[in-house]
Amino acid sequence: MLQGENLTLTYQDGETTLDAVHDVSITIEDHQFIGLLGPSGSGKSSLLYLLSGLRRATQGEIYLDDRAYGKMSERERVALRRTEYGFVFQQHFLINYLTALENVMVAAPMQDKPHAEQARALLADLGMGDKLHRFPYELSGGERQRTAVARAMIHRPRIIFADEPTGLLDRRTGMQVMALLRSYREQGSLIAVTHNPEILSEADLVVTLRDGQVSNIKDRLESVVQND
Amino acid sequence: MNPLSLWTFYRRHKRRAVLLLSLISLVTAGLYLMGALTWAVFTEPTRSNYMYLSKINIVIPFYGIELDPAVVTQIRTHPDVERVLPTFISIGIGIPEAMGGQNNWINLLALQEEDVPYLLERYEATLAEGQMLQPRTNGIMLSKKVAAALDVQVGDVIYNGVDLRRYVTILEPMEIVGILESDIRLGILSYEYISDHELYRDNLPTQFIVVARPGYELAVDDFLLSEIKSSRVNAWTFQDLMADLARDYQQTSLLVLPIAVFAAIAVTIIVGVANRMALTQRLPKFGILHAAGQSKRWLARRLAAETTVLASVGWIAGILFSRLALYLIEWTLFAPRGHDLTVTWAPLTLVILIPISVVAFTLLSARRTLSRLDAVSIVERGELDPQSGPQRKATTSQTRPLSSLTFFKRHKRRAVLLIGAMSLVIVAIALLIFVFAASFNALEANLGDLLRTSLVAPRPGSDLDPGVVAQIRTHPSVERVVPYAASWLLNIFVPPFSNTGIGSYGLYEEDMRYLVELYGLELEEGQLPRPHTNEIVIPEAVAQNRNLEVGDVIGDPDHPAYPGAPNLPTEFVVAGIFATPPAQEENWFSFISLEFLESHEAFEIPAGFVFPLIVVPRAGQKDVLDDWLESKVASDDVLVLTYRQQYARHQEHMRNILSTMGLLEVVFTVVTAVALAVLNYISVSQRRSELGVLSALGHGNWRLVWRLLRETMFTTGTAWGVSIGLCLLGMLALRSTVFVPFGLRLNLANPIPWLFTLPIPVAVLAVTSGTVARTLSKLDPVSIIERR
Repeated sequence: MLQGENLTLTYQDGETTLDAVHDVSITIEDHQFIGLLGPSGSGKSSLLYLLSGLRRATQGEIYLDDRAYGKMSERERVALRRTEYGFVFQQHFLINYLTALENVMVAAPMQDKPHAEQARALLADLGMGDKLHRFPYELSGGERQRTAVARAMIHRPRIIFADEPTGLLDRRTGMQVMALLRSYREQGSLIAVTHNPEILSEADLVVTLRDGQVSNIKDRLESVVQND
Repeated sequence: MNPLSLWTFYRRHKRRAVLLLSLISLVTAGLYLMGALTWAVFTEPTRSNYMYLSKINIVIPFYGIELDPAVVTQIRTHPDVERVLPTFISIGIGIPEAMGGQNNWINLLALQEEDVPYLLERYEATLAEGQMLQPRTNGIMLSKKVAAALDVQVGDVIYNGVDLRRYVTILEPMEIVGILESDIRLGILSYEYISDHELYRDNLPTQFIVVARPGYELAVDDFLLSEIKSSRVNAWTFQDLMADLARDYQQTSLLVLPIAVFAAIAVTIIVGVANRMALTQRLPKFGILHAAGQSKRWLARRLAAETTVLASVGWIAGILFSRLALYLIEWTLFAPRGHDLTVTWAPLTLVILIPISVVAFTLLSARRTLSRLDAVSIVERGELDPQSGPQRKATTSQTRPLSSLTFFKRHKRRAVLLIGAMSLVIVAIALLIFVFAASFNALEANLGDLLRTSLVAPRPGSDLDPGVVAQIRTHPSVERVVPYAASWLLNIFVPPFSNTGIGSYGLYEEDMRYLVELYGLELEEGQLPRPHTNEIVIPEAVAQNRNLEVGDVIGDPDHPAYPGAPNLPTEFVVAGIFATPPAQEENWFSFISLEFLESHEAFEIPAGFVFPLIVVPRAGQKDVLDDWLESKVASDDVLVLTYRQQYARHQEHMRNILSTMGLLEVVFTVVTAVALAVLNYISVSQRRSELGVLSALGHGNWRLVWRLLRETMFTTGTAWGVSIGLCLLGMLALRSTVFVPFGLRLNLANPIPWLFTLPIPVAVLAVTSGTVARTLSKLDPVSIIERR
């Protein structure tokens, strides 16, 4: 379980201070799909960076099970990202001189043949079996993002953090990518940031942020009822 | 303010501009200094010590030959000759080099009383301290520079008892009576004193100073060179001096030019790679400028202009810095030691290539890259890479994508350029050291005659005391003493510069056979010299080096056996050639008959003369004997030569040269380390996106530092390996094409030159770890992810 308590992230912009996240508390259970929704500048990406350990909270504390981020060294937080978390960003951020398979292997726990086989199988499952040895510039936008999804899954993380994973994709491709990410719920949790509510239709919990604060929380049941 | 001006660009990219500027400046300054100092070390002593020929000429017969009075008359009556002065120039002084090492010879001019003021006026020299030379006295007047170089002053006494190496030909104490103010190095002594002195007068040949009428110096030079100079009479003229200097200059250039070319190629590659990486990083901006209407040609010119300004400013700064450094070296090192350091513009030839090649390479590279520029795809793609063309395809993937091998497999050109540039720098410095070390090692064979024996000889001007001889004969560590007479009959050429004299031992027949057996010498061809004949046996090395065969005649001034062969009092016929001994016992033994020398009037050996001795130790007693000879027998009158003492002196000379090389390597090491730091800085900047994402995915900063360091270790290690291979190939080529045909051994086992290949890779690794660690310590993955 990942739990954030009274999280605040303050940025200094010249002489003014700005709370990108203000006093937000959130709990993510295992195998849950959480959506962070909100317009640009609402603080959803900042909250994701806090929860994933990429940023340190100005105030508040985050716990992975009973381990508090504040008590972890930088090294332990880096290790956490490598072993327990997976990431998918708006841009694919694939390394341009590595093939699709190699890009996935970058996040593998060990760079050896068994893991290469695992990466190969994973890419095949994601419909990339015939493009293993293609460089990113030889792939379409959807294929690149699928490779990025495979990279996020290869080490079987407990939580995948997805920041606008469909932001640069067309609707159909975006839905395909989301379907892949949702399928991971059987193995771990998924936290997706978006400003597009459509892709969160199957989320267990949708947290809406505005000006760095939680403005609304809906669970899946509520969403379904509302949609009906 | 023009946002697209070069000035704006440099202001916004200060660090990169300063690094590239420093790199070009340092390489330029390093090469300029190297050229200027190398030329100074190799040509300046000759120029300084023989500049007295700018006002006079010297006519001197070869050893043992009397000058024909008709020749003297011919010179005196020449219409362009103002005066002919008798002189004696065979007394000289060895002046120590400014940078340490060997002494360089300057001839002292022995002048008659009435000629001294005349010649001083000619040289515009005035008495600065002390008094004028008095005739028939043992006084010497030295110019300030000579006195400073020798660290002597008025009242000091100099002779071979004070310092054998510097004053070997000054047999009796002479007092410095006057210091002259003169731009030209001068040393003047009394002709009357020399011609009356018992130690000099018997060997006093007829030598003349020839002074041209003002304005007719060239005409007299021509006259002496064309009508007087012959196989029996030498004429030293200013023209000859200039020709010698030009030859020395050319020979030195042969050594430094390859280094200059290597360095220029290396810096071109490094700046080229740096520019290319920077261009990759700036492609989005260029894409936008191109979309906004700037042509590719304009963009290429703009890039070339950026580099041209940096290269020009760096180049000029490098030259100014090096000239400043040269003036500083002259002021602090050369001038106080009485040496000149002529700061000329000649080293410009070594550095002219740098800015030209850097700019040309950048322009070509920019044009090539920009030819693939497509504004739309750049703007659309968001992530840009000029290499991301259809040309690169993979058929397999690597299991270890983050390994150095994978990185360089995918960046082959960059790897080849980096490795090539670094290898060239290492080879440029190391190869020069290899050549010098090989030359020094080859010369060790000239000490081989002392491996199993030691020599005891009288110092110049002294005789060997029979009591000392008896003492040596009866010493318990002595097996046998062998009388000998030494003659310098041969010389051998050892590349790159050394023309070394080979001493020939005049031995009695029985002693010759004994020494042949003692040293295990074997005749390759011919026979040992027969007693009472003018036969000589020479080593195979000299035979090959000078293309001599059995039956050849050496010493004939009219028909020299090889270029530069010494003129001898009589001719010698090559009777035999010794086979080259094993490497560890190599020697250049050459024997002649002592019976012949004793009977020949030219060698002037008086009856009852006590010969110098070859002292042979009993088995296992060499060290004991040498200890005793060095501590108890060596004195102001007796000279002792042992292997260990001569070897130590040889090594000291080698160390002096290598120290100079070491200074040069420090410059190259700093330049290369800075260059690689520039490249790493740009490379890390270019790969910020990749490194940021890896950091976000859980690859900590130290892991990333280690990864980049591994990549540097890969290129540095490979470059080191390549340079070692190139050095080895170069030395093998040198061995087969130069050393072996010249009869010389080339020792590849000497570890010192190999050690000189290490500082550059080590410095590059050290600087890289520092640069990379510093840059990555500031890496923030979120800022990279957020930059959409």
